[in-house]
Amino acid sequence: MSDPRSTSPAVRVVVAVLLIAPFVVYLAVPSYARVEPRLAGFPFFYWWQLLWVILTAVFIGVAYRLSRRARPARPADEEDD
Amino acid sequence: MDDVNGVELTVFLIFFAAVTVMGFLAARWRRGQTIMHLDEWGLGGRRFGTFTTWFLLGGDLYTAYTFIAVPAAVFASGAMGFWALPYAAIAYPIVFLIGPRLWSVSHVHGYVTTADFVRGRFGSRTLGLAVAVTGILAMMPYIALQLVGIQAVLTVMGVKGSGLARDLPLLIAFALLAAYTFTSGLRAPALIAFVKDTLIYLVIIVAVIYIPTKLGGWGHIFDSAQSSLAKPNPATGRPSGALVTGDMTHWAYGTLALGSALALFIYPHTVTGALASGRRDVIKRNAALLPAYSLLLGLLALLGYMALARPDVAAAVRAAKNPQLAVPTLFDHVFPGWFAGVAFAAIGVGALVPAAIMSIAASNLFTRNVYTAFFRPGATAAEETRVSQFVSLLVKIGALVFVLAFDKTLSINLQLLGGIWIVQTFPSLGLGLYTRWFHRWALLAGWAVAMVYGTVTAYEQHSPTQKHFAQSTADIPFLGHPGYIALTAFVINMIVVMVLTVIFRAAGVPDGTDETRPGDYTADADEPGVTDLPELVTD
Repeated sequence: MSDPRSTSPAVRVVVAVLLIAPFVVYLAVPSYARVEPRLAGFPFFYWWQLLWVILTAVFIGVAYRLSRRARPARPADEEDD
Repeated sequence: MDDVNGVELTVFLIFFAAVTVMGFLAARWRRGQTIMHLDEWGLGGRRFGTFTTWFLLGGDLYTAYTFIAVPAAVFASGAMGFWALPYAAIAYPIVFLIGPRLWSVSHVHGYVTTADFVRGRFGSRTLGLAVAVTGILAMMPYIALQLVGIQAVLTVMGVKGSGLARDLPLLIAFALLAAYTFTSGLRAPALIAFVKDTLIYLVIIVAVIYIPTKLGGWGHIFDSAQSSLAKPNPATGRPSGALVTGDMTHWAYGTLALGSALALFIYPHTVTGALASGRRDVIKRNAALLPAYSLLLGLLALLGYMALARPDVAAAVRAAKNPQLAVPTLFDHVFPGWFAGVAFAAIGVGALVPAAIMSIAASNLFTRNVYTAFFRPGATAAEETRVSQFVSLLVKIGALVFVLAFDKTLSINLQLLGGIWIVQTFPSLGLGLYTRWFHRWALLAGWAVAMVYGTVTAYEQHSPTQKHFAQSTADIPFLGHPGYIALTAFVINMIVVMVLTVIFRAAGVPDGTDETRPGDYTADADEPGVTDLPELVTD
């Protein structure tokens, strides 16, 4: 995704799916607009959406790794702080 | 609550004073050759790594909006107010897609603002001007929201009165903010962001662990909130909300989330924070790390339900007719005085940091894309910085006008109003990073039509208590469901842009020259052509 010159089509499709999935999940509002099943007192509406925040982060992290691995190796990033 | 709470106010003032000193000292922190250069003052020298960028962007994104406006919306309308959570999640795939490309092209061409990029990409100063004006306009209600947040905290601490006495503490706080932004530029908020986030994390963790145990657990909080929301609202005679969205609010919920997500990363202040990072990868990594803040945002939103679950808090907030007071009043009633003071300091500092970044971003836009582009093409770097410093003051005054002129009962509408405007620059900016197919005049026409539609529609929204700008949703044409005006306007915008692009191309209307090349969008630091501080050399 980050560099079309060096990313294989298969990787690009996977990255696209990972990045689109959160939109599909969150915009299908009626699919999660219910109270049951509850989890630790939280109605489904709330724990489902909170859970997907974590999954969204994981998906983006995987997309980042995939798009990096597909690039030519470069020296490890130097952090300046 | 009628008297000033001494303990709370003392703790609050100590933190505020400490932060102010830090703000002035920040000018010395990791300083480049000279602060009198727009890159130095306005982008902090463009040298921040993952860690600093995470704090800086977090400081941008999680503001008084998070602590005051979102819980207030949940307090007032239940599940409908929770749309901020999906917004804060789906914004990050968008950041991941457009952030790195914007970083690369900006660092190759020395763009400091979004409007710089649009001008260079589409070869049109006028389109750049449209983007700049929209950015400046959209920042003002967002800064105003921060002022409302500070005011809510001060009110609950008992600092209130009538006329000038009521507004005085607010004016002092913003005078301080203005002064240290003036002297330290972006370094001030970046440094203070560390303090702010530490305070905020502390307060949130204590709040979401301690308060539920005091209130009988999460299950009880949701149940009490539900019965409280189900009671008819005296003003409308209908229930004020429910625990889940209903048939008529699904569309509003989804469109508010999506529209705000499109807006998030094209706001001038988030772009400023992102461009200040040292490498392209820093932004990608942050797109995966920043949702940690979103999780907190979701838990903070639920403080609105905790306020509903405490009958005394709910009654006090309703008596004051100001849902913004929900979280401060909850803290005031539940926490010991000293910790309530810490929590209020977190909210206050949490409003100041983004307000500083926002006013810097808006003034960069003015200097680069209005002043230098149209009035003083030969302005020196020192002159640019000087103009930016003064404009950042003017922007804050503009924000004050929004505070005074707009209804504050649901301050989240201030942010949503800014969103209606800024989303209309997404075709030139967000899509422009991927395609050059659009014609420059088609983009300008689409922007103009959508700006007028969005502003007029928002203006027409009324409620029993307010004649104009009462809400940010309106019926979506041909659909019959209410939706976020920003997204409807965006669809109209895109239709105009696409139709006119086809017509202009067929008619051979001259298009501008694109000064960027495909490789510019993927360049990283340490590659040829990518410079850290392109203008310092000529200084």
